[in-house]
Amino acid sequence: MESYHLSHFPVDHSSVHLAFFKNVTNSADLRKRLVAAATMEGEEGDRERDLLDYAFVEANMIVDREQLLTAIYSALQAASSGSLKTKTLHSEVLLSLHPSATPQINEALRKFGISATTKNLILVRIGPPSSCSTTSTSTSSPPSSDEDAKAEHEQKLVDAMSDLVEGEMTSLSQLRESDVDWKGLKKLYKLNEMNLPSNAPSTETEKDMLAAVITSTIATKTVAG
Amino acid sequence: MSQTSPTLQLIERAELIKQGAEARVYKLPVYFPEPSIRWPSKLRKLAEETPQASSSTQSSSPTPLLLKHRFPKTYRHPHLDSLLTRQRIQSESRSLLRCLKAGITVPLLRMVDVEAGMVGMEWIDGWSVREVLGGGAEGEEADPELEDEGEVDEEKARRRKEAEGALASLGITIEQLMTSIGKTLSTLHLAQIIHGDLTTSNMMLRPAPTRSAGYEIVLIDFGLSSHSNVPENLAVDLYVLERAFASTHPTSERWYQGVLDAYAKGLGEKKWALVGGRLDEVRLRGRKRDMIG
Repeated sequence: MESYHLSHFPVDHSSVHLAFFKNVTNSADLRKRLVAAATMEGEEGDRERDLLDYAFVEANMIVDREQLLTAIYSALQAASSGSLKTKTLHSEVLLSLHPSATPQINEALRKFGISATTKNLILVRIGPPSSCSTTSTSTSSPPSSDEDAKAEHEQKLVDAMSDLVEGEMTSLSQLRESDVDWKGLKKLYKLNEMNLPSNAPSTETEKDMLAAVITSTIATKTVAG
Repeated sequence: MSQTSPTLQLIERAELIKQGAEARVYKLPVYFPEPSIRWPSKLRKLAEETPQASSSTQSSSPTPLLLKHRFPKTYRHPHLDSLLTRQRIQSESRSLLRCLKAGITVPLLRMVDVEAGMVGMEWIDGWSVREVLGGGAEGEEADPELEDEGEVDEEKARRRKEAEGALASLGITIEQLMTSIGKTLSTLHLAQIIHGDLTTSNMMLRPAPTRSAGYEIVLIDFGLSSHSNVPENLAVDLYVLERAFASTHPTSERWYQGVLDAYAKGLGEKKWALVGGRLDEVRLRGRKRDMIG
């Protein structure tokens, strides 16, 4: 899991945690739980929603960190200026990944969210740097430093993620080498007009070119159209 | 927009590298900070036993970001100002995107915040063609106030030396560089993009180990760009560069011919006949078509 701390954003969403899982086997189950959790009532519902409080991203639609971080950044930006188009930051990330300036939320979820057949999955959690950063009264242990609290929080989070997802947690640097759906991406981001020889890019240079357009498209969405 | 906008806060961590009438350009050393990396406890125990598991922890090294801030112009009505800022950001980012799609190397876009007037793009790690050709960095002589300490001078001298040695270190000749520039410009114009401010400062030479040539030409600053396929506009674009070459690199006439030759070849005979003819006209009359007022 990679944790990015962005101190220029409000503390409640100043930390971004990403984990990439390969060969996930319980996607169908996770998806079912997500749907059920949305309408679950009472304390149990709160607990389940808390457990599932991530953006579940279809990793085959992500070519590299830059693409995902760019979408996350625009979601954070939208939150700061009070212009979120969805209910949560996590769903806003999925929306930001979609190239359309005015996408249907359903459509964005279908393209970039988890599906029953998702094999490669990225979990995104945006939140405060540590769970107990505001009060130190809850525990009897001596007040630890911010760094310790962060580290503890991150370890808890990564363990929770690996308990949730049945798959192999892998470095995000491996994204390009996994099963990127270049064909789907080219269609969605309208990259077919580019003068590239085939459907799937064969060289690193070609992949770089496509990735550059994808990231730039996400970044400029607010001024597109 | 208040000063608390997260985007504007980025400026405080960035270094001002260019002050213009329209925008300020900054270098932000780190966009996304180096992440901390953690593995699940159960995997960690495993990793202690099998050392190779920890070798896959490589992460992205933090990359700098170029921030272009179109700051509010107080001499304009606020509504007009934000409208113009929006339009200019829109037009610049569209041109960049169109270039990327056409396979022209330009900085990729990482962030656009219209309300803050900010665009964040890829930092190009290279030298401007101007520096490489020994013209010094842009504004070097014109801005003595910016040079305050001897240390800065030393840094500049070092950079200048590095830039002037760039061709040798990359193993390319000036003629090859000119050919690459001409070829890049023909691709740009074939994609119907007019740069609007072609100077040797707005072209960068970047080492690119993955390319067969070992380098690439990166066009920057699309603030004045437009979309056109009219020979007149292409010719004026070239003419601007011709003047820039003549004034910054007085002994460069022979070099510039190399740019034109490669450009003509890239454009194709038919189209070059139109643009080249028009260029001759533009040379006689100057960049402005109408001589009114």
